[in-house]
Amino acid sequence: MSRSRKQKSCNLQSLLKWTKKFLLSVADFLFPPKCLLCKNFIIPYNNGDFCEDCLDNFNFFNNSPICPKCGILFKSNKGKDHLCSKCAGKSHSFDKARSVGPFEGTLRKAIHDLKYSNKSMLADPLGKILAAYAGLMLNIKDYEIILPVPLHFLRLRERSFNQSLMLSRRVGKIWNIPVNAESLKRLRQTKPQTSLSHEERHKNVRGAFSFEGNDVRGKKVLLVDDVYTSGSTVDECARVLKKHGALKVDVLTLARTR
Amino acid sequence: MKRPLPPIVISFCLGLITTHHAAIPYSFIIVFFTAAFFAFIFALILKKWLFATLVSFLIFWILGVIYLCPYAFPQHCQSHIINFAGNRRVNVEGVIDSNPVVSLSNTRLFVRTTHIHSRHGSFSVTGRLMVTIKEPLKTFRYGDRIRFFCYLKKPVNFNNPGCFDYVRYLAYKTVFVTAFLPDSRGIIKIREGEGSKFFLWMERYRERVRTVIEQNLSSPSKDLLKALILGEKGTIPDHIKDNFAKLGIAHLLAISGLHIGIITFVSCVFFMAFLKLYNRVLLYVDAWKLSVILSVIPVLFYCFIAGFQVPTLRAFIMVLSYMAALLLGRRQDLLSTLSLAAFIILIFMPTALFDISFQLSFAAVLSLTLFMPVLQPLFNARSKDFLFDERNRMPYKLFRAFMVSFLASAFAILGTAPLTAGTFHCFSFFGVIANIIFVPFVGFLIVPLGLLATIVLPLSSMLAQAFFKCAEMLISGLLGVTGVWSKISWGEVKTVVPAVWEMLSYYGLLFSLPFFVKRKRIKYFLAGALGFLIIELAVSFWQTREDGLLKVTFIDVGSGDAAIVEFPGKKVMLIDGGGFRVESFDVGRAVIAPVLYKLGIKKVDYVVCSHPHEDHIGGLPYVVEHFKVHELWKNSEGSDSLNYKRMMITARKKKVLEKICSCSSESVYIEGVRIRILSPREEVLHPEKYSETNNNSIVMEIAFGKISFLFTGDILKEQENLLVKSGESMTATVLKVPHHGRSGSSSGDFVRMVSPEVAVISCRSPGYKNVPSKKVLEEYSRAGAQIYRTDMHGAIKIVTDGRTFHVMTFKGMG
Repeated sequence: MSRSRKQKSCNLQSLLKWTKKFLLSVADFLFPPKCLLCKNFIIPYNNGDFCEDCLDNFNFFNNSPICPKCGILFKSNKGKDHLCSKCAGKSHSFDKARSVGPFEGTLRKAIHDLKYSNKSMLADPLGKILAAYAGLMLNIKDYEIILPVPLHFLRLRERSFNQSLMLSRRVGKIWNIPVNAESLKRLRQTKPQTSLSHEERHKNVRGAFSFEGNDVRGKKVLLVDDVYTSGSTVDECARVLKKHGALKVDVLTLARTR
Repeated sequence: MKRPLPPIVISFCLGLITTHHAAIPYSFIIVFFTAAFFAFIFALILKKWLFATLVSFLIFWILGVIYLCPYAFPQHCQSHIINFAGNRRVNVEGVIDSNPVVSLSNTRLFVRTTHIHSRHGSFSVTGRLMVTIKEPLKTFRYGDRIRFFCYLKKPVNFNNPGCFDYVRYLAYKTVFVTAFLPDSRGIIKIREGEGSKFFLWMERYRERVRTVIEQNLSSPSKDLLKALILGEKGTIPDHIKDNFAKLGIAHLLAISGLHIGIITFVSCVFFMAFLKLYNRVLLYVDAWKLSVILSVIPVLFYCFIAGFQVPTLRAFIMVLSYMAALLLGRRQDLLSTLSLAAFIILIFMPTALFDISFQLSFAAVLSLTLFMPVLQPLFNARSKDFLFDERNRMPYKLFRAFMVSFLASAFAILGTAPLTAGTFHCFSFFGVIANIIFVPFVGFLIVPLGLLATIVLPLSSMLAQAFFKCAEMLISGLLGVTGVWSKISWGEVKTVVPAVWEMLSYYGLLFSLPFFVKRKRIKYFLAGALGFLIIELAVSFWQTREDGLLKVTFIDVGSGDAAIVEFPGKKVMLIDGGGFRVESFDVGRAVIAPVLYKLGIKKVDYVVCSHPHEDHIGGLPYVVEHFKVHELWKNSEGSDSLNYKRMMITARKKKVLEKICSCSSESVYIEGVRIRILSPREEVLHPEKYSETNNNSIVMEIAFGKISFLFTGDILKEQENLLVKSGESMTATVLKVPHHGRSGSSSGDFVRMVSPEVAVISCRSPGYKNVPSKKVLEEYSRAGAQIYRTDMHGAIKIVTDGRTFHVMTFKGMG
């Protein structure tokens, strides 16, 4: 009895699978897949989201030595991992930060498109990449909660979505980790970090975040953002989280500036 | 294949076009289809992919051919109402199956007939019937069962070059029989509320909206709002339509993809703004997708209010396929999306392809689709500094918005130019600017306001009225501006109908431009364009050269008279302008102007009005209004008829030289052709009597070398006898038979005196018995004349070089 039911559900699943496959191929026929970044068709249909050219321009951090704290890639590809000058000079609130790749080429374009050109469909492939990379670089099973770096509500209203949250959702879904979208809040609308110097950035974000609730007490937290520039933003977030009892705060970003 | 859909849809369309123009024999279709099908299977088995692809296009072509057959070559069953068409009065019963079309002067009902009653009992019948009632009526609605006496008639075409194929047009609406009623007194309403419950409910709601609009708004704005909201543009006055056409924004008056698209956009933005009020919502759902899905509701509501008419539905399908692409989270390929929309529409209504509104919509969108990607780098290059900056730069945003709308409007106009030239005979230079101003004005203000009013109507009619009042203010502003703007006369050029090869090469060049630009091969494009221009100039030079031939075309204007004389040089004369007893049908607009445009004529030097009767004067006012006219020849008689007054007022306004013709006028030579007036005498007798007016017709001889034409207007026996007695030589090669070949004219003496080789009778037999009369026909046969009739041959063109002549007819018979 139970066996037949199991078989039935199995059949149903395969039926669903095939239906999905069929519908996808119909969709491919009606709306031929195009690279999400450039306008080229993807030939042959590889079920991917980017064309060969764009994939070629995708730089990942590889085996070169990195700073174990902030994850920056050293220029020479010889030697062992060691603390970079910045991390040696001052202490960060977060435990370690890792990124998928440098903020250039395809990754840079993808992040810009996602943030400014309203292409929310990019969140899916980028989230997958981020999740896969997190599995490689971090001990992903350890984390008990994922928090995205929040946007100020006015900025959220302007943009209608939080790209860090969208990425977090994908990572959380793949690794089965709960995502908390609301507890961490941005209190001030800070100036865009890109226009500021290193020192100013720190001042700019100081006291810009608050945490409500007690979700992180005694937990290992993964903080997700799109780009790591100077680390001031995630550092400030991590400081707030630690204050609220987070055991460990690691940072995962899609890209970082060199 | 990168894009499988566009070539498939194109082959399907080619199939539809093939059937539209020619009857492909069934045997050929069957053989071809089977062969193609097996070829396709074998190609698949042998894995010849390219061959299989090509064959599949052929299969879609033949599917298109088959698909249109039931519409183009309908098979009527025994009980079809077409079998009752004829000169017998019948009592028809049926149900109104679509919303009545009301214009300023008449009402059109589409009736699904069920019974025909007669003395011998009732027969059940099938088929649609179009009933025209010469009154604007509001008493009939969808779902009414009515019964009335009428003559059932098969629709007829005006068989002239360049004329609208009315029979086909109706057949594609599955109407094969029409009826005409002078008023609604004879129509008995048996029952109300037959038909689909949904449509009845919809019509009730629409009725309510209509009543509110009609009661609260004043006349021109009311009609415009009805067109924009309810899709009923019949009551818009002609001068407003003309003003809009002059500015190139006539498309705004019919609900199209543009309106539906704008409403989708507006509601998307609205829902987005609404969702943005709730931060928590933004954290948990994709607000953009949600608002796209939600905006289907207002768009559906718009379709509902507009009565789910064909153009609205079409636009809805178009918008839906764009939405589908968006929701699938794909980088949309606009060409594929457009093809998908076209394909769905053509599957449901294959005849839509031959609808000018369909053609215009798709030409515009296709042109935008092809050109926008080419232009995007332009904007991106400019915006590089701003793109990474999250601050809003207003001046830049405004500049970008202006540039985008300017280019969009320009490309839409370029894409539709040949179609508008062919259909509306004019091209508006103001179109580019006027569209930028009026499209947002109508689309983002008036239509949403009107829709809002219709939404709140069930809740509060006060509020709805207030919204309608606001819309009225906006519309009167719009009408004011368009009224003033369209007064500027240099904004538009009159165009003749482009030939098929011109259309094809124009579109070929236009649509290949993006590819040339992309591959940086602009010089090839320029070479192509130059070649096209040279050929175009050569052809137009060849066509308008002074070929030394005199061409006379007798136009089929139904029961009236009209002839175009093209002199050996470039001058043109129009003798009479047809006309019907029904003044609402403008023969000038519907028949004469299209023929003139088709012949490449934009200037009519001489307009001759033989006598002021409705069947000779009906089309002249339009010609005087819309063409360059130098001289107006008439007899001294006036008339009280509306058309006569309209013609004279326009002629005076445009400072047309008026010339009163009588037998004492001297002969005139125009480009080597002698024109002699034989009648009437200087003083006009008893102009109040009908027959006297006929007798006062201008009788005119046009002689070129040995060949001469005699135009006789509507003279009757008495006048003929006077002419015969006057002793002037009247021998003519071609005679326009007096008074449409009726028995009161063409006396034996007169015919023998003229002794024509060709007699042309301008007449339309159905409805008028004995026109032309048998006696008259015999008279001409006896005199040895070859008889040509506009009702049988269509337009008749006689070309002469002064020595010999040659007769051509539109239907190619005889």
